[in-house]
Amino acid sequence: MGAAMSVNAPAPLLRLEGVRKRYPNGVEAVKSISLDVRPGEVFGLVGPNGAGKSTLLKLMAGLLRPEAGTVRVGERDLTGDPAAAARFIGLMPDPLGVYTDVSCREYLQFFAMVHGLAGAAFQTQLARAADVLGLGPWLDAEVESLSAGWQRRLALGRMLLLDAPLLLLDEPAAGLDVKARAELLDIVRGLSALGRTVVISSHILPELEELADRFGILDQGHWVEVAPGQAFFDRGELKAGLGGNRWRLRCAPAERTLAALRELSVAPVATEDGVEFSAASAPQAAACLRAAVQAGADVTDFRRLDAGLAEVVLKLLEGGTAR
Amino acid sequence: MNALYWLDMRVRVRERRLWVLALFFVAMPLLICGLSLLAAFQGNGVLEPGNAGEMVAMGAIYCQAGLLTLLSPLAAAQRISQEREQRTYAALVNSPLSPAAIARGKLLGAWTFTLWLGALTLPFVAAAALWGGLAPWVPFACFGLNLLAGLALSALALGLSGLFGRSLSAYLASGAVLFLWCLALPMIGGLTLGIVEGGPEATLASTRAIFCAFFLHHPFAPQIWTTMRGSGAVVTFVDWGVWVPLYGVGAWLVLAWLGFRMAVRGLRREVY
Repeated sequence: MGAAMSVNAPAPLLRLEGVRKRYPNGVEAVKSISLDVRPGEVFGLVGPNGAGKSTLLKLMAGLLRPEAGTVRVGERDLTGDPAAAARFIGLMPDPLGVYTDVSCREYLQFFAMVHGLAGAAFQTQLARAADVLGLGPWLDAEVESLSAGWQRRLALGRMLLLDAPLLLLDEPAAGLDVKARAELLDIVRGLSALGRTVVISSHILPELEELADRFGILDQGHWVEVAPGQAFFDRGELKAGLGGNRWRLRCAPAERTLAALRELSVAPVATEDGVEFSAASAPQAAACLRAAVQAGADVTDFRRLDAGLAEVVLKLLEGGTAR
Repeated sequence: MNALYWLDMRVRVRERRLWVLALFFVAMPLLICGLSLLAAFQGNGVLEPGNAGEMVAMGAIYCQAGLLTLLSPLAAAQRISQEREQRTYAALVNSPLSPAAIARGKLLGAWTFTLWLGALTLPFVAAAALWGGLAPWVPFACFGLNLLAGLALSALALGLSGLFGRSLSAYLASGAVLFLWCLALPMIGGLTLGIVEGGPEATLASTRAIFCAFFLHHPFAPQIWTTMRGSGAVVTFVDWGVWVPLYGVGAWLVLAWLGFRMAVRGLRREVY
């Protein structure tokens, strides 16, 4: 997918241009991917297992060296340079690994030392991270004694300490129960509110739908097109059915409504208890409603059909529009 | 301070096996020195101090050499591969630490372990020096050589650890290198020497070449030379004087450097 598929924002924080990655076993996991992520944005990375999401996140963090393309944060080219990327990017990989034989305080102190943060500056950052993540009571507990959810909070704490402007979260809610998942996603929402830019990959689509500002669907190393020439979509577009703007009229008899709507060219389709059609705008939808009533139909319900992320992803993947 | 070294100290000091190893490291020389002392009694039950000192020194020095040769690489062989196994590797590499800084931190941890184990047996070596029999500098020189051999083996094992994703593989590779270096090469060298020296074209140069290729770099070779010299024995195998232990130490240093470079190279690999 070329640059034409990227959303052109004035100053993206993260810019991927034509990134390609082939593994030594010959599998091309990422095929010429471009992406711009704007400052303060939460970008949701969606796709089936093996789509290339984790590979893409590792490419962003410099852990993998691409065959082609560049990864930039601001003006800095960080392609394949994890040490340079670490100053701008915090990565929570999947599966998550934390040092378990130390206390939470020592774990965070270690990463602070690695980044040259010490003394009063470390204490201030530690207090701030503990406050945001609710880690205060657990700071002196052994990491091993923490549940999976708290270990993930701790990993987020590592990134919070360091003020990295860009956070890459690979399946942050994997393996967590409903409560821990909701709490963790609340934290991510809070981080976004604090101005951090987040790229998050998740299979838990309902939560991601609420969390992310913009989405991209990956399949077989490509962005899936949601419309001709369009790879990314925001929450508003998602709610509107990604340009489909489907509306439903529950009415009887449906045949009269169907005939009336055919004249308006809104692609009406008969359903069990009425008609579904596409309208580009609310006034056009209202015109359709009027036409149905004038055609003598009894209308009992009229609403826009909001599309869920899961539904959209499934539909697009089944449609095989990856390129 | 290297952050990884700091973390390593925090983690290792809490490990129970560290103290079990320490106990083993003290118990073994104690047992061997005790047996050496018993063996030093003459038939009439009289203990001759010089003889006792030499026996205890030999027991302490070679027991220490053997333990360090085995345990130093064991302690280093999982230091990088373990990061991969416990999935902390990605977070570690996603840090401003360069591969060289990571390898340095890991190496410092492994070396501290070796030095600590060495220090535990220093009293035995010192006691041997007090007994007499050998020149007082000999046990201490051998102590230093043992430590150097241990440090070199640690670095080599760390390098292998950087190349493997699993600790078991790193342990097996370290064991294979140890076997090759300490047992297989001297055995092959012995056979080669027998064949060459029995042949019509045996020369001093060929003998020297065989010793250089198979024996003089062995983790015990400089100590053998030192104890022979210290006990007044004539060193007959190569007439190079002090260059014999220096050759061995030089080879260790080269291997240690290679180990470090291997570790850095392993850390530069992509994180799949």
